[in-house]
Amino acid sequence: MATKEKDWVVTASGDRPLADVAKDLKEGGFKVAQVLHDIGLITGYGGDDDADKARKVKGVKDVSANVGAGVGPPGRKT
Amino acid sequence: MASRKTTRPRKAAPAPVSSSHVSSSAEEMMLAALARGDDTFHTGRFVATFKEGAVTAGKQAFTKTHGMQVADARDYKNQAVTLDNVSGADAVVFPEIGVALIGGDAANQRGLTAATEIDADSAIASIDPEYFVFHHAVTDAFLRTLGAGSPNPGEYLRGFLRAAETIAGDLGGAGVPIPASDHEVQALAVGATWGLVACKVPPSTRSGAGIKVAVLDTGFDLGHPDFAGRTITSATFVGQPVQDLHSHGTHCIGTSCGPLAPAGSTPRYGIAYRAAIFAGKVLSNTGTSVGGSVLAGMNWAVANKCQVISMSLGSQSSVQPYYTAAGQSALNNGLLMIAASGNAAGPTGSPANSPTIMSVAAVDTNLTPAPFSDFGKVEISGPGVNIFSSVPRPTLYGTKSGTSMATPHVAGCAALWAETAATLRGTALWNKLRQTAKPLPFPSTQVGSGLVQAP
Repeated sequence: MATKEKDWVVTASGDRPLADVAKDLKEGGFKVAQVLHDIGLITGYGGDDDADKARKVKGVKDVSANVGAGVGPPGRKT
Repeated sequence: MASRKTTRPRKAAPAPVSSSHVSSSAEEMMLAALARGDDTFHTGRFVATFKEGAVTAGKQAFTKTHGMQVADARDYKNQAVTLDNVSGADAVVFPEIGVALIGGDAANQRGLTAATEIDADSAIASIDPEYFVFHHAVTDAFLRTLGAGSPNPGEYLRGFLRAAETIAGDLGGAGVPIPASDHEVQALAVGATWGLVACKVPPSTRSGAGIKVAVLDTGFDLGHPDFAGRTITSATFVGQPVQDLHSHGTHCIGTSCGPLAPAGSTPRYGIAYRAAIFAGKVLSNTGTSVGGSVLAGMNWAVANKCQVISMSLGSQSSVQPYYTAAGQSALNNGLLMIAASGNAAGPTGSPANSPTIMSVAAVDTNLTPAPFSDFGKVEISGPGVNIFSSVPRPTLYGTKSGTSMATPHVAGCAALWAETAATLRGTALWNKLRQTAKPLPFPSTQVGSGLVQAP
């Protein structure tokens, strides 16, 4: 059974064009959301097994869950 | 019941799409108020207060005499009305507190506004405008006028303030908040915030001219009067307009890039007053990221070659490889990412904990580490307690605390330094900020190399 989908961030190693890495990720089942050429990252989503497959794609240095960020609602110390 | 010129219930004309319906969100009403240039704090809706024991009669008048569709809180489980769940209603009655909220169009069409003259036998006691509620904003602008013209305004102010404190104490009242630190007293004398004074900003001849400062946050009040005429580029990455309905982003942009001389007696609160502002909305109006919004904003700032990229955001998480990669890309391009260490009084959070991103801790008016400031991987400090800056209209100004406020102090000073030499970019700018910081008598894990200083 597929695991619950999460937001992932792929850090590229820089030794392949990012577009090629994104293409291979998509072909492997990873759902690519953004290809961020200027900082060498690809965001997307999928289950844990999709992330595992993505880590094996040539040109991928790391695949980590997107931890998100915030400042809290108005009034909270930020 | 309210007086009417005819005895027949007026049939309401079909209501146009309204931004002040009972189910309108605060965001919708605020955007509409800003669009019409309304600074009265009025939402467009009205609140009718019923006479004691007259809720039922009042509700009947709404429905039978005025032909309104009326929702009643008693129809909801535990009377927990969510206003986005009252579609179709012209008014919502809250019987436990004896009031009704009336939509703007419904009120205006039926003459149920604050201008209505209410009959003596009406079930309604009064009709008042509904107002937006904001956090309390404190300014000490009036104190700035004290000591003006004195040969030694600092001493004059200290004397005045000690006298005022003594008198207030004798009278048993708290009175006006009395600044305690030298920085605060000096700030009143020179007409700038204590943070700018502590960072030696007022005497600097630099303005940030020619430098792009990206602030990735909750957006910006693009119509704030203090920024009229400024070069502002904006983008949203969260599916909401850039217009800041949170206030955090506007406050941070104010500190980093606010004007040299705000209107009236408002003290100077901004540093790089001629920098080009890049406002990236990477956080929603509730202050949280949406999917990859932060990364998309980082990419945008790097793509636009913003020499200084300020991020007063984060999470209490370990070093993230993707933030480290983003920071490295920035440095490789001669750009510098600066981020808040965090406010959990714990280890520095991400993205500030990445080795390629400069981490900023917060100090108070005595240049002591703020109790909430994260520690560990900290490169530098900035003023982060009781920081006065811009907030969205109509309030205009507000005071906040946090490493979020310390970070734009460093970003603004970084822009001033970047202006001094074309070689001060990326890692060189990072090193210059640390080398010129004012040393503080605290561990570097708390304050880094010290308090950022302007050139």
